[in-house]
Amino acid sequence: MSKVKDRVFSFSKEILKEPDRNRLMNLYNQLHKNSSTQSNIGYYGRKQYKQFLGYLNLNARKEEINMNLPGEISGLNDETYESFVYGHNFIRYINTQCLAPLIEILPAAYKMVDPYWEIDPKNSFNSEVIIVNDEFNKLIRSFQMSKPYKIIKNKLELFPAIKDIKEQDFINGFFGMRERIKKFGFNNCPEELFDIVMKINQNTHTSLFSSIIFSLLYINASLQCIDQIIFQKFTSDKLKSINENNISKIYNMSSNSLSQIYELLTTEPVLFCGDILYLDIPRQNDNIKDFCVIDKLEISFSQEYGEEFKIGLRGTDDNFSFYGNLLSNIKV
Amino acid sequence: MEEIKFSENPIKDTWKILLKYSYTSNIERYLKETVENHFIQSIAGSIVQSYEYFSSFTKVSLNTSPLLLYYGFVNLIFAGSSMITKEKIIIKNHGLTLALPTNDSKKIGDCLINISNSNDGAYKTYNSIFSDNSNFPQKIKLKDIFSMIPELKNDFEECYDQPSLCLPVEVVKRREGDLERIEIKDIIQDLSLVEIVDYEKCYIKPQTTNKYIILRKKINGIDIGIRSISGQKFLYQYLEINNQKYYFDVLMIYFLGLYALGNISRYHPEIWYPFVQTDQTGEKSIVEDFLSLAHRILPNLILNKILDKRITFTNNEIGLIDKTTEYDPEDVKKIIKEELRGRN
Repeated sequence: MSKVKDRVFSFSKEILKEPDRNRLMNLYNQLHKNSSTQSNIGYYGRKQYKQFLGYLNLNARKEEINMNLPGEISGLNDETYESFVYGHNFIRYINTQCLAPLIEILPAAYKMVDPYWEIDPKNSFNSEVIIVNDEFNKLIRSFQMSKPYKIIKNKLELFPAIKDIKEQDFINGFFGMRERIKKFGFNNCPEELFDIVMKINQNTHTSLFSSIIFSLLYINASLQCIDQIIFQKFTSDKLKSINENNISKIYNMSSNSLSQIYELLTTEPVLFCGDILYLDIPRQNDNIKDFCVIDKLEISFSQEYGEEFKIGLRGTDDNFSFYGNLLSNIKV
Repeated sequence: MEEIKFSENPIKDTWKILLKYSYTSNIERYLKETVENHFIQSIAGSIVQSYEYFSSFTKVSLNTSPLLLYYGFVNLIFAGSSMITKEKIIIKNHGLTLALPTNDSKKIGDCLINISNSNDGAYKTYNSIFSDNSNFPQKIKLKDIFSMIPELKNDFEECYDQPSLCLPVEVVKRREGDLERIEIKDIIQDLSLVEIVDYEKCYIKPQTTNKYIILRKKINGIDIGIRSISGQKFLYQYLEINNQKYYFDVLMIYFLGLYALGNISRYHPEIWYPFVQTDQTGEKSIVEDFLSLAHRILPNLILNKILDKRITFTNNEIGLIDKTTEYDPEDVKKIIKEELRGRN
């Protein structure tokens, strides 16, 4: 079975053939020009880390925001708005198709794994976009055949009573673990994660529940990366690369219960967390090559030391998830 | 590899080590193979002669000192080459000739050195042993040689009103990551014309602020540049002649300069004597500094090549490593945890 990651890149090439792609890219670039009257919504919209939805959401709330910060957020012009609605629904269609079988067997999952549910539960910018494309179909099939799906399906078959668990308990479990992960920061993992992982294959209620929660976290992480790569393909011709020509120092390359992590200093302008870039670190025997998501970013500039970007990256696995290690000990 | 030696007289202590190789047993031990006796005697004799020429340099005036130093260096580089290659060095001539300036220039720096491509010339032979660059121009001016001496940078630029090819580098060590930088004020030419020799082997793309050109090393980059006597790092720019770019090993820079000055002092007293007596341009000071540097540096450089390590002489106390001012961030975390535990 082809890797999800390979399928994502094959499909993303098809985006270049989309008739509206170049127009959308030009509008996006216009938005981000310093001279643009829309440049502040450009900057703040990007920092929502929700692809096109970030801009649309900010645009919808601009009056509410500007009551506290007058004149801070300008709106999107009509042409940009319509293009971004299209782009957003293009990505949303991918999410919907990827998640369809999961929602059938576990309806509560939608509120957890869909990357857009939290910020836009009512799907406010709905517009019909359907993708008809062979590469797209292959991507969806590959995603639905991936390990987390199999884990959830098998655990539910093993213990059907899980379906009777209240939706709120699932939500509490998912978001509770997600907040714990965030609280411990980029370099660390929740202390209890190791213990949970050690017992994850036992046939206890707790272990089965944990397996499903971990799989949902994994799927959510995977979709975040897929959405971001598709967004980057719409808005840019080039994927940023961090390599020996712009790496100044490597602080840390290690692995924990969640991810492969890299912490390094670069001079390559890296402006937004959530972006995906290509990492290529030369080593004696073999290079480290990985598509990574930016999890941490510190930008500094001074006349003494120039401009520096200290970045924390999470590597992605074959399913394009940045929590690749979370499922490594779980038996399907 | 670097070795630091305590010394109150680096010149004397450098020769003390070099003169060990005037003893045949030490040469045999160094070569680690059986060689013909006359080969060993050629090395021993060259080192002793070199020492005497270098010693005489300090006892005569500028009228004859350049020639003595050139002869001393020729002997020294012959001995060093023989030891490093373990082969008989065949040289039939200097591999260089000198042409006096044809224009109205009264500057010694405008003398032209012609470099021969002949395989039995000294310059090409030694260049192939000590330099990684076999490409050299047919002609080079003496002042271009001076422009490649880091210690002469400021005086050179003042005297000749053109940029030196040496750029002083500040090395900044930080916890976040080391970097190097060149002060903009140290570059008198247009920044866009600055091109550093072997830049891409060492550094990633530079950044420019109002004050500095910021250089950051590649993670697998090699070290480039040279160090002055004071230990400061300098980077070389290419020498451009007829739209071709050249760079030289430091030994060959001194070889060319000493040849030119030795030749002028020996064969052109009508130019050299008035220069020594009545120079009004400030060039004499540069020539004296160049010779003084050669006297100090060349024995050290040849010794480094023979021993295959960088020997640095210092009069600071050695053998003491003080870590009291260093701290590990992990130690700080422990201190904070203990402090918080104490308060709880």
